[in-house]
Amino acid sequence: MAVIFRIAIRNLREHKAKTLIIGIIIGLGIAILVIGNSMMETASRGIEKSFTENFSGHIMISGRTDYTLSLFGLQNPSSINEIIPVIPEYTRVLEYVRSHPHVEKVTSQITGRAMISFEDKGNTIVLLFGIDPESYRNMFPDNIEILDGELLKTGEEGILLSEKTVREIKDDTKTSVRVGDSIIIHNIPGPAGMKIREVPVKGIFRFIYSNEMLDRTNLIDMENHRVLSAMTVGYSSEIELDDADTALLNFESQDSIFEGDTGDMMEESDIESKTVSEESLLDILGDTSERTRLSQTDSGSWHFLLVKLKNPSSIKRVMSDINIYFEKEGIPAQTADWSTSAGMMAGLALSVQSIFNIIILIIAVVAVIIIMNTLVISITERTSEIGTMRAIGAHKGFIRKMIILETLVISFIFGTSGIIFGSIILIILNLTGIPAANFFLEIIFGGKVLHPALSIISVAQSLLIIFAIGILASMYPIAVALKIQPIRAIQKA
Amino acid sequence: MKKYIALLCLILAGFYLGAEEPDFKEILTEIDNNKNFDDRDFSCMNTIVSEKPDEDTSIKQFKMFRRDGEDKFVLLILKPETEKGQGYLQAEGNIWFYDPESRKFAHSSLKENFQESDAKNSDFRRSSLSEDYKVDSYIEGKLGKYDVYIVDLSATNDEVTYPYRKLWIDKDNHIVFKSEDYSLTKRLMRTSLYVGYKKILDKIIPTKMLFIDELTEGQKTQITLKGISLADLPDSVFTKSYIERVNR
Repeated sequence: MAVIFRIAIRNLREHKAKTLIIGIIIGLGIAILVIGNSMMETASRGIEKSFTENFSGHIMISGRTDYTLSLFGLQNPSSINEIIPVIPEYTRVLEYVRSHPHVEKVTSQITGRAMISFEDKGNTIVLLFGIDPESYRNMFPDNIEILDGELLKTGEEGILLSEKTVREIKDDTKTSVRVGDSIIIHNIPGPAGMKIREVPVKGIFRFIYSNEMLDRTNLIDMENHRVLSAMTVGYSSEIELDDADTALLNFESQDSIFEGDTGDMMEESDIESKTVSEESLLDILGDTSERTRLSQTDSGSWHFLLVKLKNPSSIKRVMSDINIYFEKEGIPAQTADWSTSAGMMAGLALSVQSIFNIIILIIAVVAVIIIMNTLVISITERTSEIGTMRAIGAHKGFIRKMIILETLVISFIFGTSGIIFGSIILIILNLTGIPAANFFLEIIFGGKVLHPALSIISVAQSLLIIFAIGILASMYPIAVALKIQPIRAIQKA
Repeated sequence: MKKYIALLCLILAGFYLGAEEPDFKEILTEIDNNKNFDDRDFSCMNTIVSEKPDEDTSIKQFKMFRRDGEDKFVLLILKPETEKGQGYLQAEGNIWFYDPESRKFAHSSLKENFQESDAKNSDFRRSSLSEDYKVDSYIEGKLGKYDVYIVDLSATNDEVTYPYRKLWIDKDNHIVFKSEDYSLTKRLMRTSLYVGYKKILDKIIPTKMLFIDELTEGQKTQITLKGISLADLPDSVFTKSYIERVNR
C-alpha cells in the first residue's frame, strides 16, 4: 500500500498542471457546497427563530379541528365559515403544560376578524389578537415597537392599532385615528348575532419582526375580544317552530315546490288592524334578565395556548407528551408546531427556501459534473502511461488502486482547502451580513439580514460527496484504460 | 286572388301585432305596488331558520315594522334570549345596527347579510324593482306547473345588492316566484324562492321565502312571516331612540 501511495504522490507531482486544475475545481466545488449549505441552514434556523421568538412560540395548542388552523385563524378557503373552537378544559391544560419540565413560558390568545366602523364613512376589516398583556409581553418581549401611546396594561380595556391598520383606516374611511380616540368595533355576524364594542385606542405600534399577515394584526384586551367572538357563558336557542317554518328547507327540487295549485300558494290573510300604542311597543321584549346572564363572557375561553420551550430541539417530544396527555384525559384538543401555527407566511417561507435549496443543489450537481468530466479526461489522457505500466508487470488491481488513491489525495488536499476557503468567506459574510434587498429575500433569509454561520454538518456532507464523486468519477476512465492492450498503449505513446 | 293574398297578409299582421311583447316596466311597477304599502304601516313577526353544513341550525324570531311611504324599517330580534333586543333601523338612507349589551349603534348596509343568514338587509326593505332595474331580455317558460316570464334584469344604479337578477314572474298574477341573484361578474350568488303569498287588501305579499346560498352547498335560509298587521304605528318607532328605549 505504501508503494502505491508513493507512486500516486509521484504521479500527481509529475502531472502538476492537471493536478492543479482538478484540485482547483474540486476546491471550488466543495467551497460552493459548504457556503450554500451553511447559508441555507442558517436561514432555516433564522426563519424558525423569527417566528418562534416573535409571535408563534414553538408549540400551539388549540381545540381539535378537522381543518388547518393557524394563529391567524382558518387556513383553508373551504373552511371560511368554520368557527375556531375554544380550548376545552383550559385550566387543566394550562396547568399540565406549565408543569412540563421542557416548557419555559406560555401565553394565551384569541383570534378573530372584526370591522372598525366610522358611521357612514365606511368600515375597515381588521385582524384582532385578544391577549393577556403581561404574559404576551413576557413571551415576546422584543417584537413590539410602540410608535405612539403605550402598551396595554393587565385588566385594562383598549386596543393597540398596528401602523398599517391606521393607514388602511385612513385610506378606507378618510379618518385619522389617534391615541385616546374611542372606536366602534363590531364583529362579522356569527352564531350570537352582531356585537358592538366601543374601545379606546391605547397605542399605535408595529411588530419589529413582521410579515404581511402580522402587519395587519391588532392587539386588543381579551374581554372585548371575547364579547366580539361571542365567548359567553351560555347560548339559548329554545324556540318553538311550526312545521311550516322549516318546510321549504327540505325541498326536492325547485320545480317541485311550484307544482301545487295557485290556491296553495296564495292565501287570504286575516289582518290585525287594531291601533298599536307606544307603550305596548316599548314592552315588546319582556324580561331581559336571562339575556344579561347568558351574555357574560367566559373568562376561561381562549382559542390558543402558545408554548415556548427551553430547548427548541425538544418540540416533537413535548408535542408528543401533550398529545398523550390529551388522549389519556379525553380532552378534545390538539397541538401544532410553529410552522403550522405561524400560518401561510411560514409555509411560504419554507417553500421559497426549498426552491432556493433546489437551486443550490443544481449548482452543486453542475460542479460535480464538471469535476467528474475533468477526472475522466485526465485519466483517459494517461491510457498510454497506464498501458506501459501494465506492460512492465503492473496488475489491473494495482492500477485501479493507484488511480483511486490519486483521486482521494487530490480530493482530500483540495477539498480541505475548499472548506478553509468557504469558511473564510462565511466568516466575512457573517461579520458583514447579507442584507435582504427585497421582501422575497427577507422570506428566504428569515429576516432583514442574514449572518451565515459555518455548518459542521454541511462540511461533513460536502467532504463525503466529494470523496464519493472522486471514486465514482475514476471508475469509468479506469475501465477504459484497462481495456487497452499494453502493446497498443505503448505504440500510441 | 290578389284580394285573398291581401286579406291573408292583414290577418298575419293582426297576429303579429297581437303577439307584441309584454310591457315589463309596467309589470315591475305592478310587482312593486303589490308588495309595498305606501300609505299604511306594516308589521309582522318573522321566523328565520338558517342551515349551514356541519353547523347547528340557527333559529331567530324578530318583529318587523315597515313604513314603505318613507322607506323606513325597524327589525327587532325577540329570540333567542342572547340576542334579544338587537335591532336594525333603516331611515334617511342609512341602516344602523344596535347592540343592547354595549348600547351602541354601528353603521350597516343594505347589501350586508341579515345576522348570519342568507337574507340581505335589503330583503326587508320596500320593493323597488322598477326604480332599480331595467329589463335586458326575456323568454317564456315554465316553473313547476306555472307559466312564467323569465326576465333578465340589470341594475340602473350601484346602490342595489345584486347588479344582475333573473326573475321568474307568474304570467297570470305578475308575482315573482323565483329570483337568481348575480354578482357584477355575473356569478350566481343566491337563488330566492317566494313560495307562499298572502292577499292583503289589494296587495299580494310573499310570506314564505327560501334563500339558497349558491357559493356554499347546503347553506339555505327560510323566512316565514306571521301575524301581519296594518295598524298605524307611532312615528317614534322608526327612530334610534325607540330601539334604545325598548331595551331599558
